[in-house]
Amino acid sequence: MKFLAVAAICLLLVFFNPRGIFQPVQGIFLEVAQPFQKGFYFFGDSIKGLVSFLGSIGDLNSQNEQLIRENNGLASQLADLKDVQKENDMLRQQFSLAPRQKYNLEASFVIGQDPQRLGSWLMIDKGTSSGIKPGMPVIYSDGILVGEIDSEIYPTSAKVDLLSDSDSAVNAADTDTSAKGIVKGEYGLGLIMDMVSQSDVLNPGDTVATSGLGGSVPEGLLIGTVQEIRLSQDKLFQQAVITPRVKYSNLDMVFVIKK
Amino acid sequence: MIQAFIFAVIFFSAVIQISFLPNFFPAGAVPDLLLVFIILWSMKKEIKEIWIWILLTGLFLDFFSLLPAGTNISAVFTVVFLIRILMRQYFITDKVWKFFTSAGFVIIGTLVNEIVLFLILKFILKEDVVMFSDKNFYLRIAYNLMTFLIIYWPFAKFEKVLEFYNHKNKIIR
Repeated sequence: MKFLAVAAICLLLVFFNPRGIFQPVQGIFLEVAQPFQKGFYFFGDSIKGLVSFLGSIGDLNSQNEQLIRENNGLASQLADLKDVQKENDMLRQQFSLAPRQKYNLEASFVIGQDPQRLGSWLMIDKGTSSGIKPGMPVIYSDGILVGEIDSEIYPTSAKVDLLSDSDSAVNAADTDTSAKGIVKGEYGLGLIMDMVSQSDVLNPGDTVATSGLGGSVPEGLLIGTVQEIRLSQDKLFQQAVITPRVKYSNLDMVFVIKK
Repeated sequence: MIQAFIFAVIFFSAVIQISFLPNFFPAGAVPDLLLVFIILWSMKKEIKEIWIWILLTGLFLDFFSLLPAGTNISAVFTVVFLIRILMRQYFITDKVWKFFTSAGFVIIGTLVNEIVLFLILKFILKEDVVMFSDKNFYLRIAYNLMTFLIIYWPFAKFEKVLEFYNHKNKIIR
């Protein structure tokens, strides 16, 4: 009897919550918790760095010898770098990859991650008070798209839906062959470029970037690399399994592209 | 005083779960520290004694997980009810058996928690979720068992602190 009463109350809460009755309370709670979250996230991040550093000490000797050899080789390669730089500029222009200077960016720290289910979202330390709005693209480093701002935004924090979220969909193109498609999340497990026409060419190793078509995400943001190509279940389209450019669980700082 | 202590333990466990542990575990397979804590606690206490803390645990998890309030509360309450039913059936005093039974309860509790969350997310919140085909599902069970091994003895200390304060309060009254 007691169990039924509690279950009924809980289910009522779940049903009524989408109307936002708890959002103000949740907002205040998250605001109070934010400094602790930030502190613990960075503490964990530092420990993780320290652990990986300690783990690498054993390899330092052999790495040192390897570095000396590499250093000699690098001296000869230095001369070639100018050519590489030119090639890089040309490729960037060709692929329309987005330089960060092009956007009005809001730097924000990751303060939490989805602990349950599929790990398909992040929480950042910027919210409505910093002008963050739903749908704004979120990038990492030099123009690598990681996701979009969700509708759940609080004054000092916001939820970012990662590209690996199963509800996520972004128009993308193969920068090597110009094949167009939609990059979707696969239950938080990876990325799939879907709806690619059979006449388009996809090759393993190709780079995939946003195409800028039909949405709020600008063109030229890197997504990842084509790992494998297959046919869709209905055999009408090609699909590509995409390896994301960054490991989403390792993100510590991201940039929100403000419109 | 003791209430503040328990509140702090639950709050900081939730913060650790959402902001500290994800640094060390694969995305979506973070150990459920609070669930393990509540399972161990519910093995020793009746629901009427700790219901407010169960509610608070579920609410904190809902707030931090950005899920509608009630989602984790339902899951945690279901787990606790089940643990209490099992405890009535299998009351064990032997220390070694108690340890293994607790480990078994953690596995059962995690499974039930996963099932309730899956049902709510899939059929009420209409989220696109999978359960048995998700490798994180198995990882979460393994990590929760690992968490149990780590917190089993510290939890005994926590219990002793609570008992000490309860005893002290009774004397003062």
